[in-house]
Amino acid sequence: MGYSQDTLQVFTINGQVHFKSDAPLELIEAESDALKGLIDFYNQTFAFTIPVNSFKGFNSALQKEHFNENYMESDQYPRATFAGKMIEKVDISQPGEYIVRAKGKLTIHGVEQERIIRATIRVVGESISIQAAFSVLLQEHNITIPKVVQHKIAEEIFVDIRANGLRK
Amino acid sequence: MMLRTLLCTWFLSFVLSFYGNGQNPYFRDHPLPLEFKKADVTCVLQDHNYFIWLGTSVGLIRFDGNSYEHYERLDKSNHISALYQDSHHVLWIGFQDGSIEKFQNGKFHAVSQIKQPVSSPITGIVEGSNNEMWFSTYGEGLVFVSTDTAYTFAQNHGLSDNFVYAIVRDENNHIVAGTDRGISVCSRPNNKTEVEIINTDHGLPDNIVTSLTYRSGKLWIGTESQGVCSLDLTTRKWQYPVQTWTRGRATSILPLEETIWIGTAMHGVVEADIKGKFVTDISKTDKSLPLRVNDITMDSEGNIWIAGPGNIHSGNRTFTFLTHFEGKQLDNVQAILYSREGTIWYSTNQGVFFTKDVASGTPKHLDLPDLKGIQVISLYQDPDGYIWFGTFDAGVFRYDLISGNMLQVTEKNGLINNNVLSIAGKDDELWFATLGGVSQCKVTENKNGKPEFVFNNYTSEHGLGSNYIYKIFVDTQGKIWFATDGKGVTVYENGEFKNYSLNEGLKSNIIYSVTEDASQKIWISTSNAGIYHLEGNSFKPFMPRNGLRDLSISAIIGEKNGNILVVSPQGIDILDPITGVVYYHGQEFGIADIDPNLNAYTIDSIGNIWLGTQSGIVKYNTNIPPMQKWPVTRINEVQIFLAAIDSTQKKFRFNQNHVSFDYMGFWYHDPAEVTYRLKLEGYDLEWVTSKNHFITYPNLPPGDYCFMVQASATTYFDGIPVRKFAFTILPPFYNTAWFYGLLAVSGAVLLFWFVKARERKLRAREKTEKDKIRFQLETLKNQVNPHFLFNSFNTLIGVIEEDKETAVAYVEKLSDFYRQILLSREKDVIPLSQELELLENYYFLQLKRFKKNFKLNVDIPDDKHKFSIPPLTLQLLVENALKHNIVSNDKPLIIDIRVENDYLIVRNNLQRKAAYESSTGLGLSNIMNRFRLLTNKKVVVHETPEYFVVSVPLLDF
Repeated sequence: MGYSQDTLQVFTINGQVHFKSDAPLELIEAESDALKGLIDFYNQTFAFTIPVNSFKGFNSALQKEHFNENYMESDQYPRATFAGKMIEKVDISQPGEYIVRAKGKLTIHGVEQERIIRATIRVVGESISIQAAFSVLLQEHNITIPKVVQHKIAEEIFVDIRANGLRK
Repeated sequence: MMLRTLLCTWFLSFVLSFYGNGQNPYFRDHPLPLEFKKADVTCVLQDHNYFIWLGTSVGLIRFDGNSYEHYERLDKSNHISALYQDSHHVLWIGFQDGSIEKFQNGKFHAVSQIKQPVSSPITGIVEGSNNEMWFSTYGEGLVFVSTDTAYTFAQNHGLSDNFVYAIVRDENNHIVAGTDRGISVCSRPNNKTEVEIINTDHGLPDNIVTSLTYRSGKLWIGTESQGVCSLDLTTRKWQYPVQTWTRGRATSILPLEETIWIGTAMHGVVEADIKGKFVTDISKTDKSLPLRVNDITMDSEGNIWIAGPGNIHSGNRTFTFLTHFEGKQLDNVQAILYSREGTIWYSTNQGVFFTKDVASGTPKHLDLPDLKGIQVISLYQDPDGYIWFGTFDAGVFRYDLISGNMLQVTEKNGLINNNVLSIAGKDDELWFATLGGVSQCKVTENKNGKPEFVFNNYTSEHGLGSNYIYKIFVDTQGKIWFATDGKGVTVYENGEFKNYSLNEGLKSNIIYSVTEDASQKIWISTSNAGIYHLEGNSFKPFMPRNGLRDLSISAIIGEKNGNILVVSPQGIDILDPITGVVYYHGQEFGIADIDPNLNAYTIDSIGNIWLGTQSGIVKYNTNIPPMQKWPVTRINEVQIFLAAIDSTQKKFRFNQNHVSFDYMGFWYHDPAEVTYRLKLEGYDLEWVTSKNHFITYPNLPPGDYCFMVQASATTYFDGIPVRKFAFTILPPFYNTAWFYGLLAVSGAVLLFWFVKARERKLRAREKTEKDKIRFQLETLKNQVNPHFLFNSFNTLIGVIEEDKETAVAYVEKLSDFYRQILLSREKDVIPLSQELELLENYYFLQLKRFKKNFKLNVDIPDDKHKFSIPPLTLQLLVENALKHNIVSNDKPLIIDIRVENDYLIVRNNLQRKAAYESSTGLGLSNIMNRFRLLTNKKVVVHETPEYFVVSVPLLDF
């Protein structure tokens, strides 16, 4: 039997997402380890998803509530996703570090944005690890910040991703 | 005076530091109409009719330099994402929603071949061979449309990726698509599409290819993050003009002769040298330009168009500017010099600078301690390569480029004056113009190898007009010209000075500048009396046909193409000395208030002119060929009663005589300068000049006309092609040859009828005449009928015997009767009374014969006697009755004559003889014929078993 060429190159991904809002008056950070995804290195496609309400951290419970209810409206838009294709090729039979650009649609708060995100993929034997950093402009995703808290929430949110993948 | 301004600037000092920056053309904003202010201009192109078309997020906009015309689809998305004009001049439009339309005659038309439209944005359009069209989509690959079919060509067919950003065609009919995963080169041998993929494995710096431009054998490639490169598709040679690229996505590329212009998604417009010598961020200096550039293109005049969110800009490279360094304004450039090393030297209040790289204009400060606190106002490079600095109050300095040694030469060394405004050289002589005369200087070396300066000084005492000299100019003949303050212009030739002043034709003696044109003619500019040129022994004022914009001229400069630049604070007038026409360059070129410094100019090795101004350096690029010498004139529309007509129509009806023309002179780099000259041949006797682009000719009489129009940017029209529209206003139908023909034919027919009718009438009259004669003859024959006479005589015999008197009366009546017949027979009609008289005579004669067997009852009222009747009518009718009826004692004949409705009714009781007396039978028909000629009323003959009735109309003559 054995695996076909296609399925051999599909990896399931689990990982963490960390974000940081560095506003003049307040630094807010939160983290979630509920990132899940799939990467098909043969077809060079990928899909990631994370439940918005899985983020922990923040500076207070109230802040988390605000995050979910007021800004992200996580009841209405429960998931943030990123799916698309990889521009550069990764040879998973060759251990090493690859820098690839992931181009796809980033959906946050129900608003789709086409993004090209640079990621580092490290191939170690049968597993891979992924690292990426990018920023999200709240305005681009139709997330409006009331004037009162503009000095407490940054317009640009920095996002870090660390994830590991195993052959499916 | 000029000196005062110079001294003023001397006291102004700024402390600025300068970093590298390039030269920019001046870009003009063309603000979209208010309602489209938020529109994103996604693409721009110029069509074959010279219109600029803008594809925007709110539809299609046509721009002619002055006004905008907006076109949109009803009930559909109008977000345009691609524009293209094919070889048949059809405009193709791709939309963000994936639809594709053709645009012709102001209307959108669906592409009928496309049955299953895509839903991804159309990013590019290109025409293939055989009228095939290719469309690139962002998500669904390519769409191919032939004359009868359409299909998509995508990743599963071999395309590198379905996300396609751009599509172009090369000289070998390859369709080249830029995608997320490299470039796909498609060809269609044998109607089957084949693809070759070019990616990073082949030398592409980045697989995401975001823009493509094909120009003269080279494919220019813009990428997502690695800048731009070019590939020769035949030789497969790559070129990478920019080594390290930090400006993000390249959205559009415009390759020019030596540089490429790149539009970026976030960093505005970038100009890069093709050979990699420099990269300039145009948008960094020109803040008006958008940071997100969607498209860059060039029009037929050489203007560069930049499309971005909410705006469109155009710039012309005739003049480029070096005005800013790192966002800071470059101030007062007082002297400028192009040295043989390819370096531009210039001085400001901050000292002396030089730009090693002339093309990019990146300046460097020359740190010369000797010049600290000294203002350099003139620059010169001698044949040995030394750079000379002329200063205020400190004489001149000689700078050795190789050793860096500086040598100061002042009045102490023999220089006539320490204020040196201009330096020139001839062979091994140096000439210094100062505020105290001129110094001629030769440099020799002494025994120690030290330079020695030998001066010959000249002042007004030697024949120099004045000791204040603004400019020294050495012409191609070796003559040295001095522009003096207050004493005209002086020339030094063969050791002698000759002065030209008021007596030699000048109206002002303050001369600021001297130059020579391409035909070696000397030109001078004065402080306020315009320009002069030397003709023989005197200077003649030269007033260009269309005037000079500003008379405070700071420099006059002959350039290599034969033109003369007249530099003033209002801009630069470029004079063509042959036609005498001036081309104004001001506001629209960004040089309306440059405030140039007196004679601060230099000419580089390829003939470009660099000007020092109070706000930096302006370069006049003489090597950009003028793509158009004058505006392109076009007749946009012909209108009849203000409604547009198909311009192929050339003939109008006589009442379509209100004709209007909408015309245009395309001159995008300065539309306000366009003037029109018009003439309607057949109507106007002279040309009319106008600033309007619309004219109406009302009430044109029928005739042949030719509308002619020219557009000029100078109000001078010679040599400019004339656009024409010839047309005819037809005469009205009653004025046409065919109508005259018809008229003639119908006239002839009428005449024919008339002749015929007359002939018929004449013939009828002739016949009547004959009838009359015959009737008269008949009557006479009747009256001389032997029977009548015989009967009459028999009657007479009987009467004679019985009654002598009655016999006499009988004979009298008989003779009366015959006389009456003779009297009336020539007449057409006689009064009824006369006829009745005649009838009475006849009755008397007959009564003697028939006695009681015959009775005639005449009952006619007197008022009817005035009517007329043909003569002998009644007599004949009565005679007829006697002739055809039995008259006997048993059956007496009774004839009643009465009037009824203006008819005379003659009735007798009918008692026909078995065989009646011979008759010609003409009697009754004769009466009828005669009445027919006289009246429309008919003679009616009516017969019943008892009566024979004849009704004859009474005539009202």
